[in-house]
Amino acid sequence: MTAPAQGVLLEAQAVTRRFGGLTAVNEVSFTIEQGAAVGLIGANGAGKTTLFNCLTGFDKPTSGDVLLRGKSLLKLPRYKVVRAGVARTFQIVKPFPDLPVLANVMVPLIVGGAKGDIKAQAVQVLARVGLAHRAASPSSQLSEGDLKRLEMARALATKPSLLLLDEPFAGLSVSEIEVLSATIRQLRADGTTLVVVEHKIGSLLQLVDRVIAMDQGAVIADGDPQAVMRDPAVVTAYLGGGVPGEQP
Amino acid sequence: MTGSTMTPDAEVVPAGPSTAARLSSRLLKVNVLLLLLLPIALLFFPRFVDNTTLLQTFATANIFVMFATSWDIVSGYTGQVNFGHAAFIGTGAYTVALLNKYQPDVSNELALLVGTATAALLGIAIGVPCLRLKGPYLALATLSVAAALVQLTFIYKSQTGGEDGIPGVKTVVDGAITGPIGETLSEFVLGPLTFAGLGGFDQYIYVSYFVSLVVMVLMVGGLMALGYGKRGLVLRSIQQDENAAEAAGVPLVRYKLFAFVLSAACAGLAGGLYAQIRGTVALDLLTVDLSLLIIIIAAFGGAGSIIGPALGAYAVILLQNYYLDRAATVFVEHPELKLASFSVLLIIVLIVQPRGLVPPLLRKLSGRGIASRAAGATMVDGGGAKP
Repeated sequence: MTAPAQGVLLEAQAVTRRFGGLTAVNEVSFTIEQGAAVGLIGANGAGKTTLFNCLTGFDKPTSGDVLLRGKSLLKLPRYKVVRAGVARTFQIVKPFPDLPVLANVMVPLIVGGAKGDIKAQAVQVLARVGLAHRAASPSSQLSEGDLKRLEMARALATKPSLLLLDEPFAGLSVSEIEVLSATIRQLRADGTTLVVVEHKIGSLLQLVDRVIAMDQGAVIADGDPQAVMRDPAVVTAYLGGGVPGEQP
Repeated sequence: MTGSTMTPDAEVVPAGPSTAARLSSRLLKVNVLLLLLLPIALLFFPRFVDNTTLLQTFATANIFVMFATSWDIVSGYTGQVNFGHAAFIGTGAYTVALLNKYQPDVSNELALLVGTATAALLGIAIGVPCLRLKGPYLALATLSVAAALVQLTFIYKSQTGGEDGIPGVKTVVDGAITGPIGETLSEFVLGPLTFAGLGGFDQYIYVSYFVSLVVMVLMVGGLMALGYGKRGLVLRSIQQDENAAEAAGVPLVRYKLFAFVLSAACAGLAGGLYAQIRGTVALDLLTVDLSLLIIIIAAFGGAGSIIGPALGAYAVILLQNYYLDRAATVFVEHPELKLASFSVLLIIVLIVQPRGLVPPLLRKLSGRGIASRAAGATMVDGGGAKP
């Protein structure tokens, strides 16, 4: 719907994160344009989640900087990173299990200073991910696929300009992936900039127009999805020479 | 009302906001009814019950309602368990007693205010360093501060009286309540009797009863408004998952500190008032026994619901101070059996109803069916805080 606005939204500048002697993320730099949909891939242990945590304020880089619209996010507490417009989901879903679905989405609206009928606004957000019919259910009764949507709704309720999804398809069935993909495409059409970490590359490639590949903490390829997947370094990193493709 | 019509991928919303709102407002009604009926019943209770021992027990129960509900707004709601709530209660009580001792001219009401403020300051002193950390630090800090305060009373024995405490605290009868306003109130609720007309011990009992009742109702009302409102929902999200709450944009430290300092202030006020009702302060207001009894009361009634700990306090205190003594002589001969029985009772209750007795009962009263129970979860469900 909305034409992608111009300009750089997020910039990682030589982001490095060390845990003792281990360099999990090593001098990673890239920029993400407003309205883009970027996939972040790499084998387990490549540093994706650590990078993800550094981008969202859940971890602090050892060195380097993360800028949102030119302003550093590093000194901000987590809730201010969220208010600045960066929202995330978790690889292992973290709903508020004892709160109903609706209340899960009301929390970010309340702390975000929403005015008026917060319940109605929460239902609107739930409708964006196709979960409005479960508004009154306890979130502990949702399926894994619905929990992923609930997390997405909770993130959307913070009104993010950048949404980072950490393995949204993990643990989902093929049909659940299809439904969730449609939801994610709709978010993008609504103008949300997306960064998606995902192992299910076939499904990921249908969502993104750019892929960043990581190996051992460093970016080894960045650009057009098809080109990145054919890149010899990516092929080697993934399958030791085979062709990277659908993985369970 | 149905916002889904405004989005491109609109869908049918059978359980939309109107349904959810209707269900939860139905539940709210039962809570509000209880909230209004109970204090009114309690207000006129002395008119029909000519039993000063029972009234005195009720006054103590009112105080314990404040202890338990002020504990609940932090520990039941955010899940940060306070194992030393007595530290705040004792701080309020000893501040009132020490003020009386060294500044006898200070009015009861001002003494209460100072006691409340001192307890709130202690809350800030503990909360600022501890609530920045995740993990069991608050539990450890509260436990050790309460223990340290007990030691302080021994170090400053000449001021605090050590084991003997401070006797001769000005009682509620010396407060403004026995003035014109109190007389009007007592005429209204007691009929022919008035505070002044009663005199002596009866006057002291009746005044204790009413003052504790009024302060308790105001406090519980305020805490319920907080707990059942938007801020209460945010506090409960913290208890559910701190990382998820942060991802949702919740300023964790601010919310936890707010709840903790409010809790400390309320406990200080209740402790100060307790001192003015008993006319004496002693170490039992600081010990771990008191902190544990508060946790037992809250868990028994249903932590994280305010109304649960409030009703739990009535049940436990009426049993402990009144009915058990009359039920079996063994409790008179061995009072320590009471706390032991409560612990056993609590274990049984928690096996049957892990969220305490009151929230499930309220749900049963207010609606049937899974949907209403789900909507009700925002209103009364304790979220299963297990202290």
